Amino acid sequence: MSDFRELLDSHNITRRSFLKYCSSLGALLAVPAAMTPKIAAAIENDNRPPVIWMEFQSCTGDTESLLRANRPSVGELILDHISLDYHETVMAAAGEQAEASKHATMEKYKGQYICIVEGSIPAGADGVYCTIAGQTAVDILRKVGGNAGVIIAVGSCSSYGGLPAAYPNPTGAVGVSDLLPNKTVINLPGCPMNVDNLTGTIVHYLTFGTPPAMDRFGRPKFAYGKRIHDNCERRGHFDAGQYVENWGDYGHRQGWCLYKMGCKGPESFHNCPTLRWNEGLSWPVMAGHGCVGCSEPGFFDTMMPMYQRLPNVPGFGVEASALKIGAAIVGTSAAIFGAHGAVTLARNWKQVREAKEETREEIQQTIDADSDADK
Amino acid sequence: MANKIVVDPVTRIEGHLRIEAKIENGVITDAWSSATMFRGVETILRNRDPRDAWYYTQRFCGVCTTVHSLASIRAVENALNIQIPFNAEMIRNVIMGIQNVQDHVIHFYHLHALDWVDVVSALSADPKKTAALQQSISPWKYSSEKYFKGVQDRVAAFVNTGKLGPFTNGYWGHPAMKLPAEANLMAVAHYLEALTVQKEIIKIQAILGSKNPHPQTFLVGGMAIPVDPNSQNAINADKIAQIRQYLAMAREFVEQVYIPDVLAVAPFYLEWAGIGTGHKNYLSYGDFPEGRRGYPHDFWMPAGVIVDGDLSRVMPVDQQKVTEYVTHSWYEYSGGDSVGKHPYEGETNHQYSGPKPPYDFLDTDNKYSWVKSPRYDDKPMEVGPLSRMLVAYASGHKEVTDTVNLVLGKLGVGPEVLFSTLGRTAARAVETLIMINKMGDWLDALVANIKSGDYAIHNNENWDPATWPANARGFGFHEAPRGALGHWVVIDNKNIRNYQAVVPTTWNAGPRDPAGVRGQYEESLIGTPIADPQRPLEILRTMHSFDPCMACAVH
Amino acid sequence: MAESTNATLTTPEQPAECAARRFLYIWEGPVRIIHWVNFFCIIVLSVTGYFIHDPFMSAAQHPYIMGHMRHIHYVAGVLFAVSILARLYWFLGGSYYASWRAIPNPFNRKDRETFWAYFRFYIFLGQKTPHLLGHNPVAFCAYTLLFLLFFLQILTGFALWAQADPGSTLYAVTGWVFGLVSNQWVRWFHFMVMFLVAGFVINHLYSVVLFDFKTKSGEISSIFSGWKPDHRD
Ligand code: HEM
Ligand code: HEM
Ligand code: NFV
Ligand code: SF4
Ligand code: SF4
Ligand code: F3S
Ligand SMILES: [Mg+2]
Repeated sequence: MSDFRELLDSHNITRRSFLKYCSSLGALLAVPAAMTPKIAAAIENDNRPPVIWMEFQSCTGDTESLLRANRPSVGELILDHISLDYHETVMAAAGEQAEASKHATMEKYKGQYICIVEGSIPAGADGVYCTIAGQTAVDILRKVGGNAGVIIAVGSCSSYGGLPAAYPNPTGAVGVSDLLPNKTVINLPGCPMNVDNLTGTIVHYLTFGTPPAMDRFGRPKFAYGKRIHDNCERRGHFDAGQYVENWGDYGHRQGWCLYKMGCKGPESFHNCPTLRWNEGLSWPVMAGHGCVGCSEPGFFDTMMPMYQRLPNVPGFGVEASALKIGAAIVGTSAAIFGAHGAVTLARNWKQVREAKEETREEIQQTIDADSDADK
Repeated sequence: MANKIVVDPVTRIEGHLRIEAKIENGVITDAWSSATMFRGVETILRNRDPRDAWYYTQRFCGVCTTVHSLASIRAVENALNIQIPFNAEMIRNVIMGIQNVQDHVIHFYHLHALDWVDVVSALSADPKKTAALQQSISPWKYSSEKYFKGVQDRVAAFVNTGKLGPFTNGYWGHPAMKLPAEANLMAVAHYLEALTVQKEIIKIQAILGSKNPHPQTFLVGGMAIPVDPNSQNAINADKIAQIRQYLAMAREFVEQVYIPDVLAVAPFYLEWAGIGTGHKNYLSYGDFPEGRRGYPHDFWMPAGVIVDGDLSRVMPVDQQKVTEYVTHSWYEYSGGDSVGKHPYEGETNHQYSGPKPPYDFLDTDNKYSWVKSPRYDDKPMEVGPLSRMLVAYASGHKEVTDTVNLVLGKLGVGPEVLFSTLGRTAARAVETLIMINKMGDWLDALVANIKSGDYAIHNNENWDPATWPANARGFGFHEAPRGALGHWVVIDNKNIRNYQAVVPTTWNAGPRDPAGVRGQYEESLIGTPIADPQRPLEILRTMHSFDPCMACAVH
Repeated sequence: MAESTNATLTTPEQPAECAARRFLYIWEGPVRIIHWVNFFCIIVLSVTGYFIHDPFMSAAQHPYIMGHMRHIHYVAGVLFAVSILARLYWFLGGSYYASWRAIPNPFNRKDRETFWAYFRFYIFLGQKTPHLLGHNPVAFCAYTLLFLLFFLQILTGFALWAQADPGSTLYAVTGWVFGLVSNQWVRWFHFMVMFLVAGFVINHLYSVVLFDFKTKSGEISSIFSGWKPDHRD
């Protein structure tokens, strides 16, 4: 018995009403009535999981990444592997027709469908910064996400807030798990997410029936289990001390390490060096620009400035680099104790001059006292 | 107001667009365009390193993913007076050229086609006749009866599962659908082919910039991809060969599929050459520097302004004439909301004042959108491929004039039909064709320059902020796939003090200005016939002809 | 004035006395060894650490220089951690002067007076300080803060190291810090603590010289030899 049959049973849909649905579907599609059993069979044998893909405060970069899918291709994905019932960027229906499709899936497959979220969710000002069909993203996510079987957050925005959550976070943007703390959310951060990690996650879910093992930030270990730096093809140059010093210099042309140009590979967990992008063609470091750590929680703020290794601290002047603050600490310390030393010396000088004799006597007395004590 | 209809979400676009329209006697008499999502990236950019800005602005949009990086670095280069090496200029052209081509291909097949093509009707097509149709319009390789039978079977199997996925509730059987079943089947096949083609040809951006979307290769002062024919880690002969191969693939598809499809479909929808006109003011900033003097000189694609559809006069562009209003947008200006502000003085003080969600209608008499209303010389402007083609056509640009005349000749119509929904869609196709034919020249220029021994890709002189003046400001323009894009940056004490972007879709999708003059989307919808107000397919057609990108528009 | 040394003391153990003069054995071997091991480690860790932060030397003359620097940093880091652990052990099991028993008691009036006397001395308000054999209470506070920095540095250092294998036990033990702050800020703190420690060292060197000179307490030699003069009259 197929998954689909089980699903029907779990929702008490009788064979009769199911066939009725199939024949009405047949009518809609203008196929002969004799096709009804065939349609029924096809539906029963079809175990493509329904997917609702929500876009909130997104740039649609993750959707574009989806369109670059290769194994399976996005065409195969949509036709053979999943039933992409709602996806604003690609779906034919608009307005009420689009919403109807979403609601149908939510009702029919309650607790079973896959909910994919792209873009952060603005929680500020009661959610007015993102509405679809007059409803706030916050409300939509609670409903669609709350009734999903599994939630996948694609991209850094939906995983951790991403770009909209960068300081000063004008819209109160948050990631999915912030709003649905009790649901399992699989985070596929990256800006955008690499589609191979999404297909990998879906295939894992379909093959093994469970979400993949995740790290402490909700990221699948198969994709985020190692640092860029530890798989980087330029690591040899890092250890050898061969660094790009200027864009376009000899080292840059020779593929030396981008550490001194601000590469964040040493603090970024992502499989870019091994999986690479666009069907394994390239990845940032390979093309000559450092990693900017796009898959880490706290990205953007913690990873910027882009061409500097460590973050700046806002508040000291305009902003201060770690080195400046460090130099200030050491400088202040040296100044304080230098001044202390100068004052101490000056005082002692005065004392010495005022009570030269006295001091001599005191010393003598001390010696005497000591020798007395020795006896 | 009983006959006000709402389309929200407008799908098959980028982002969150909502249209409210008044319909009288089956025709739209008034319309309001609203963007319903705001992020505040201009605010986020404040106090950051101007050299990083491109990475933030790139994320305005993941569809036109490269364009905001370019406009941003050009703005900073303009502010700091940085000239970039010729190699970098040509690499930028190639990256932007393929962006334009790929974006247009995706738009036509995956965002726009389902407005004209009935997928379900394709099931009743005769594959043999479809093959004949295909063979009659171009020498494209996938044209056999067997091939189309295969596509049809695949679609039938899919439809028979009863789970139509993204095709659920589409406008199948809608009275405004006019294509014969065979043409529908051909289009469905091309829909699937284009899915593959777009992901292949965009690999040029991966070669030159590590990945797409969001290539990571831009630098203030040049590009991050090194050039060295004798290194395996730089642009070398092998990489150039790869790029050429993808260019050839793109060119073949555009010439043999995209253009023939537009020419084959258009005759069935010629009434759309009289619908969706709008204000007839067109703006292009010009782009694609070709000479050694670099940006902003020697543009291949000319700059200009056309007012009132008067093709006999193309006026020069002056960035000082750009202003933005927030009279009907959810922002507040320090000097009051009825004045327009030039982007250097621009503000992004968000202040929502619309109805409390969930809501049924917006308060369209007051503020009703997150998009600002840009004006040029206080006039609304349309931007995009149509504007570019018109400006180039009116300026006598050879490739454009020849191609536009060819297309108009094949359809047997005059240039006035271009001021329309169909005109926009045709202009986009024309642009794609001349763009893909042009791109080889830039690659050749790059190769010739490398051959001369020049490997420079970056000008380091002003990389270190210590070399910068205390205060600086600049602007950067780019002709993005959706039209004229401008970024303005004010730098204070090495950091960004103000950053303002006026984006193609801001121009097109903006709400009314203080004088009550409608935005482009709004104006273009006036007079559109609506056959079935429950299924407002016609609104989608005109909206999609602009290729809306709302994340861009609001940012 | 001699008995005033016993500020905190309820019953101080009697340190060994030098037969020749009034010298007392204050810093036992482990304290001195640990002190100099720490000194050595901190110098090495700071030099290599700064190099890791900003590799200023080119590879041309030093092939594999970053590899070596990191290797030395990690080895010194482990040695440093062991040394700090040893000092902790001695804090439990060492002599009176080296152990928890020398902690100034804020509820004890005498202890407070001693503290303020030293504090006033530091800020030029007082001229005289009670004679002490162990750490003076202000210095004690500084050392406590310093050890907190050491803990932070060791924790962040090992956590950064563990990132090379998030499946490791080391990561299981230390990785929780990345839940508190992102790894970029962990690095930032690790970098910053280097400067704080450097700031302490300046203070420390100055202070030991100052007290050596002002109180004639034989401070400096004591950290080499262990003996300090007893100033009881
Ligand atoms: C006084 C003690 C220490 C000082 C002053 C010190 C200093 C530094 C500095 C300045 C850096 C460079 C930070 C950056 O710019 O990213 C660094 C990195 C590091 N330190 Fe330490 N450190 C100390 C102790 C330790 C200890 C105890 C360990 C543990 C083994 C450790 C492990 C590391 C690691 C793993 C790195 C990162 C190396 C890399 O990225 O390859 N450090 N340290
Ligand atoms: C990295 C540099 C140094 C550090 C981190 C450091 C740290 C310390 C610490 C933690 C103590 C308390 C000892 C204990 O209870 O275990 C101490 C004591 C002492 N150190 Fe250092 N030290 C450094 C360098 C030096 C140097 C170079 C000298 C000698 C000139 C010195 C002289 C002393 C003396 C005389 C004491 C005993 C002070 C007392 O009675 O409180 N230290 N030091
Ligand atoms: N509008 C717009 Fe873009 C484009 N093309 C921006 O500059 O799409 Ni996202
Ligand atoms: S994570 Fe990046 S690519 Fe995805 S929506 Fe956010 S900004 Fe766009
Ligand atoms: S390029 Fe970046 S990730 Fe690669 S070795 Fe250098 S620092 Fe590490
Ligand atoms: S920036 Fe992102 S794409 Fe990979 S190389 Fe770094 S994680
Ligand atoms: Mg703007």
